Amino acid sequence: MLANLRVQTSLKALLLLGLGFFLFTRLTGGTLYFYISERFGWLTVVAALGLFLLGISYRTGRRNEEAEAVAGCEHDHADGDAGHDHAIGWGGLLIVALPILFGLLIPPRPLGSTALAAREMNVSSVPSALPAAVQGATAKADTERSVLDWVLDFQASGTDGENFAGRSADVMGFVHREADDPADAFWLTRYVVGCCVVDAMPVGLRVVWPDAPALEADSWVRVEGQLAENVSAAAPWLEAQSIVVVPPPNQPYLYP
Amino acid sequence: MYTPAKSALPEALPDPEIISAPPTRKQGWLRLLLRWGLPVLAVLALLAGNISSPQARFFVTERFQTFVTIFLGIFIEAAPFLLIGSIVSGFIDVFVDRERLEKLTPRQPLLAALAGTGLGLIFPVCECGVVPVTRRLYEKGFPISTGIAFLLAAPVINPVVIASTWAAFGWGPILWGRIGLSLLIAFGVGIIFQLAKPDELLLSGLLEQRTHQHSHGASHLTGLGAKIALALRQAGDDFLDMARYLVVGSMLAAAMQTLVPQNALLAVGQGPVLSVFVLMALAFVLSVCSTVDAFLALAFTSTFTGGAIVGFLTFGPMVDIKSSLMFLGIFRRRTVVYLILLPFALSALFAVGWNFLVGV
Repeated sequence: MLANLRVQTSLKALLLLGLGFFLFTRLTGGTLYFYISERFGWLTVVAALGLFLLGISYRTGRRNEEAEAVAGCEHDHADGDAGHDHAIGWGGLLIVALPILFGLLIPPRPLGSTALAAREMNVSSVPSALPAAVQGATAKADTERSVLDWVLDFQASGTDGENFAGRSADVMGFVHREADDPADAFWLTRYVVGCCVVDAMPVGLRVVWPDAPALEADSWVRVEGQLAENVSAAAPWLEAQSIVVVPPPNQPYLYP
Repeated sequence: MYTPAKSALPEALPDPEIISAPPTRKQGWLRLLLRWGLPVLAVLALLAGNISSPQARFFVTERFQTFVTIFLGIFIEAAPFLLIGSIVSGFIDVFVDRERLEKLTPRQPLLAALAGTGLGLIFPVCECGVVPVTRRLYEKGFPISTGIAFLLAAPVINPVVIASTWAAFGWGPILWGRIGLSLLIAFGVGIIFQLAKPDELLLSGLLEQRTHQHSHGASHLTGLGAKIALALRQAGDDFLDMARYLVVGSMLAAAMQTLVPQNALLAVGQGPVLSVFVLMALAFVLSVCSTVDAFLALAFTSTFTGGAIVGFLTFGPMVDIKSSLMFLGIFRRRTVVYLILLPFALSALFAVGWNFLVGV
């Protein structure tokens, strides 16, 4: 009983340290923002430190636990441990270890075009009701704008596209193709994340480029070109003049 | 020595919910694993059966990557909040004694429930942090209605969430509707549960602690350092205990997000009644933290009714996949079912009423 308790206690301490270490690897590996919004980065630092602290506290606490178990307080601890607070069971320990296992065994990757299968890319699904975001977007110079800024502006100014024809854009995103896209077109896509990847919403600019078939889905590209009025769809599209494949950024998502 | 008498009852009787002795924790876990693990395995096997071509294999591994990213995203986002809740809970365990807490809580049932709804203003926690704190308060003999009202209201009635809702919607009917309905529903459900006895609702381990007069270990200790060490260790236990449910919940939510297309759900949901149910279902499935769900709700304002938005913002923070799993660490399974259904029914009622009375 005592030995079992001691093993469990050590494992719990190890698990807390392990979870802290897992968060630490995301922080140092620069991959934290594959999962959550930049805004909450500091919370992860707090959590990693807190988990280390809790893990270490088991060292000092263990002596008390043993003293207590030996002395046996009035209520019987050896009673099958039914519902006892301190025992979470081997299955429980294994479940809590899953984030560490998944996190350390599977190389981190941001959401890509596969996740779009369960989401809809839609200009109107962008939180355009945020007046501050729209103002921020329209105040930026054309070549400074992100995909999100352009999409917000399209939506705010009525999407007939006349105001946009001929303006130059310099944007980055990953390549995504819808099933009905023509061969020379793709969507330059970014995810907009408010909190974490759970609420990720895709936004995209339609790019036309003769060499588009050579670009692999999910590869990150920087597109320079000019906006053109789109006769068939509501939002303008981007006629590319140059497309450069770039490494995926450390902050793959945009924040509203 | 009351426990042996309880656990001496045979486990295999027809309805374990009726007997006062619930299954031990280990068996409960086994059952939970079977209940959730087997369907997941079945789905995986089904998917694996279809992997014949390299493209299909590519497709499945891509899906799995997406699943892992979303799962870890929810976990990394929620872990700090759960940790803070656990630390608060650990310190309550060691530093707050039962007698003082009893003096502070109102005895009159209506007042007790009302006090619970406002407690979030003192403990600003979201739906992950609130669970360990509530459990600890129950251990300390907290009234049932106060605890339930706190559990349901605190994820909305706290400064952080009110501020984020204000940032998204401004001082409008949505903000006031969210606050008002959350208060009302938490209060109502708290009162309803007050009618039941604690031993019908809570897990046996928790009940034991609740009736157990001496506070665990703390009384043996003198000295602030030792007390803080104990509080931290209790916090660690609490965190791991709740993290089990958080992990299973985040995996389920991530699987839903990976496999069920959102637009299929959204395409169904028009009209003053159906739209409410669709957005409430979405709130349950997505399990987004209450501190940011207002921004998500913004995306639906153009396509959904006002009542549906209010239903999303009221029901989501109270109950979703991960929080309802975490409730299993406090309540019996049957209680958890009521704790999902009652807020669901009330939120749906008010949200549909909103569409007809306030307009869409």
